[in-house]
Amino acid sequence: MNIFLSNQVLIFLFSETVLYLLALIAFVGTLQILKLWDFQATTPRQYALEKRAFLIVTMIQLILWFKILLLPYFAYTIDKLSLLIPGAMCGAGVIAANPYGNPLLLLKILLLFGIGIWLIVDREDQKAPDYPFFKTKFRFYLLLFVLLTTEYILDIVYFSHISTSDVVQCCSAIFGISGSNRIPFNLNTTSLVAIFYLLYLLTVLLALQRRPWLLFIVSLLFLYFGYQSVVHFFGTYIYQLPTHKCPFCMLQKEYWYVGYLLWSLLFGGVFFGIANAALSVMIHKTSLRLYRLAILFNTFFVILCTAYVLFYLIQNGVWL
Amino acid sequence: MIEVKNLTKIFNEGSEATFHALKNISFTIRDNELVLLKGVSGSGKSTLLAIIASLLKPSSGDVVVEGRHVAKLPDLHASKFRATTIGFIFQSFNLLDHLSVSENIAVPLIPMKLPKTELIRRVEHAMELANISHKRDTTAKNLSGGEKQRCAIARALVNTPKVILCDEPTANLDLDNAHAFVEVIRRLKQEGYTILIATHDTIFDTLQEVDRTIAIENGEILQ
Amino acid sequence: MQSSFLSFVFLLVDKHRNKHLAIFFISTLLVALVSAFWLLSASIKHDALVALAQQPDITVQKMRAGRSVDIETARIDRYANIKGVSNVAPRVFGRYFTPDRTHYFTIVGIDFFDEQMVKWIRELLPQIDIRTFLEKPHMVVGERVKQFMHAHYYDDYYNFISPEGKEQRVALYKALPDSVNLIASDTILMDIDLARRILGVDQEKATDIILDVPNPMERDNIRFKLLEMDYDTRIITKTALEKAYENLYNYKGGIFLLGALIVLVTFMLILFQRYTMINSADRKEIAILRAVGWSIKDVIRLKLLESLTIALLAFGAGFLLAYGYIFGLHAPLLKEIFLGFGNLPVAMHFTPVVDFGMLSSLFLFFVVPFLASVVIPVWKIAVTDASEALK
Repeated sequence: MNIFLSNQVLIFLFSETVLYLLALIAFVGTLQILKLWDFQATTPRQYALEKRAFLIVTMIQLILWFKILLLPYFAYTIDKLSLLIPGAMCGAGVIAANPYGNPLLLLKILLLFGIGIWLIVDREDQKAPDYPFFKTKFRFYLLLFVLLTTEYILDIVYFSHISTSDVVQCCSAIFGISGSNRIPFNLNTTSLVAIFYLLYLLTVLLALQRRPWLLFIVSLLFLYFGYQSVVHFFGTYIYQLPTHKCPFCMLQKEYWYVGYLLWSLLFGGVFFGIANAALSVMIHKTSLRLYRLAILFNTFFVILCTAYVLFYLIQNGVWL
Repeated sequence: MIEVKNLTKIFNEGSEATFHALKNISFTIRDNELVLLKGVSGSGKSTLLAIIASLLKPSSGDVVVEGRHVAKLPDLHASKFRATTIGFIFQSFNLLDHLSVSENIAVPLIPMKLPKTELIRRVEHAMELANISHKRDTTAKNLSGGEKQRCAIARALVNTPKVILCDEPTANLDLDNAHAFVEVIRRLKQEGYTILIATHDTIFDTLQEVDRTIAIENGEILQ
Repeated sequence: MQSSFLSFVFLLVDKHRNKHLAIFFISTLLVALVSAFWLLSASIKHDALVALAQQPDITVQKMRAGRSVDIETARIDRYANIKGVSNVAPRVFGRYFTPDRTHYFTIVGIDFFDEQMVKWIRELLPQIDIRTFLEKPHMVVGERVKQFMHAHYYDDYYNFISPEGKEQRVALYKALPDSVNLIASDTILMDIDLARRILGVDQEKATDIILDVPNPMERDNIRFKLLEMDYDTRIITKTALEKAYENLYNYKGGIFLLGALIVLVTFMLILFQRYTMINSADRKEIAILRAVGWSIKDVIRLKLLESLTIALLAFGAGFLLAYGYIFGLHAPLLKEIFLGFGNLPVAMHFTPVVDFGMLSSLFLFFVVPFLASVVIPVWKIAVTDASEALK
């Protein structure tokens, strides 16, 4: 129970609670709207529903912006908790402190993607005079609400199951050579990095060619291999230590908090990459801008990763 | 051109306080016409103007302005319609009292995301048109009745509308200012605006530029 | 352009300042209170951890019947051979009770043959002349010790009495610098053999043995090795100490924050109430905006930005207020609440410690509930029936 008295955890959970309350109100409103909406009607009830819709849309927008802020704050909270928990040197150990950590993190990222898609659909919906995607977007919100509820429950369960007395593994145990997180498919580092760059080029190509579904698949692959590449290769150049393989340590002060930027760029790029596919399913439209943003984010991500390697090479003349 | 087709508005439908403000109204106003809407208070003039401006939704019927069906537009499109097509002049001026003249006039332009220089240019132009440039920094509540009217006119013109709607524009003016306002209307008609004035002031009766008068009583058009 | 929208927001905030004043003041106070607590707490924790960083990486104590007893210095050679250990040294220290047994001080022995120790003491007291110090029995004392001595009419020296009853006069060399007085005001530093004599520790023994382990990742490993070597020991790692400290601060900080959050919830309700009170003038203002072409979305954006402006202004003002209070005025009253009312060094200066994390926490703490509370009132006023309000 000590964990709950950490400043960051308290603030994090408090913010999540406030946002969940908003989400709940939006959920109730959504149910009403879905049941009674009839755009052609000229009744006072329909007009009242239109007004109600503004409230719900505003709430969801507010929830999104705050969720975007809360994800890095979650990472920060986890990082700070590593100071309290025996054995942990960074967030990796804290996330692994119980089986809920990793699913929670994944869910948060997934949720952020989902809410991002919702906002794009909402924007498109408001452009036409007859709200063509109205029901679609609110039905989608119902799905998001299920995810939000799961996330909230997981938040509480995860934090309440972190003990300050049980020792957790530190990242060198989790990610290192002896750890359970080897490079997948028994690849060696060179192959991994080659696949990484190839996938990047593929995302750029597909975005330029405007192929939403291929880009969707390749973006997901890029997410996976991008993560693995950072952990097993690029990260070691950030830490300047060939055995230091950890996705969380780079969030710390010593590394100039570069982790926040790095992961934001990757998640952003992947989001914009998969967005058009989701949009084509939901509203049968795609956006040129999303392709461009995907290219932009992925490119900056790759540049950042490569920069660390080049910097080390230039400075030391050898590979790690 | 403004077409009003079978417009009905019922307030508080289904309750004891049900009030039929407009009953099956139809008429057409052609481009560049100056039309007077005459009727006493409570006859439905303000309600009609509000529906034409897409500020209020009717119970049934349709309104077509410049080719667009505006009666049941969702708010985003209704407001855009108002912002680009309609200039509204109210009875009690309805200025924002704490803001200056130039700030008041700028209000309709703010959500349009114009570059600041363009915004200032349009405000300046509108102030010249309404002859109120010399009072640009005066707070609205410190203006005289006639000055407030000119400020309201400038605000109505700043977004280069096609249609000007006036709701009892001379009700709070003394005779001199009322005449000045009539002059403004004359000029606007000459410049090509379509103008609809809801009023029971007889001062407009002598205005030659008036093309038509529509009489309204108890929510219905007479004759 | 967005800038004209923002200018308009600021214009309206300014014009409506009376409406927002009460909320602004309460918000500022709330932010200031929490900021002051955090700033002070972070500052003290920082100084404490800096002092703690001076501690050895690993400390080995010999245990008998659950109690710590003097440890054989012969073990030092064995420990020095462990891979990853860079330096091993004996420590002699202990409590020295005053004759009436009501007070005690902590005597810490310094081994001047040990490079690390010498380096440490030079850092602590840059002007120390070791030769002079060792010429005769000398000591360096903390503030409380000095005060005690003075109260008992000892100024330049003190007569210690060893457990065997023998007197030992020790001259005062210097007082400890202010910066360490937070945790060391009861401390007396002297040569290690002198300390042995006064505390009654054998020549071949020490109170504990300390090890330097530069690589923090190896500390746990080495801890196991040490336990394997000598089962009768207790091993304390610096990392464990740091975590204990963190836990302590964490606990105290958490209790406070819980209280602050309760106040915050009350504040949210007040906020909600206050902004739900829409008077006819407000309604008219919105109706005018709508009539000239503002959409409901534009109005909501305007009002939310207005609220955000107030929140940010209060945030900035509150934080600066707290900063000035803690680091400018040196936290009168709050300082005593934190550190206890007695025995404080006269001029207590706090090291300003602010990091982006603290600001983020403060921001989320305040702005999230603020905006969440105003979203419904903002919406309510934005969807006001424009035509009604204009009549």
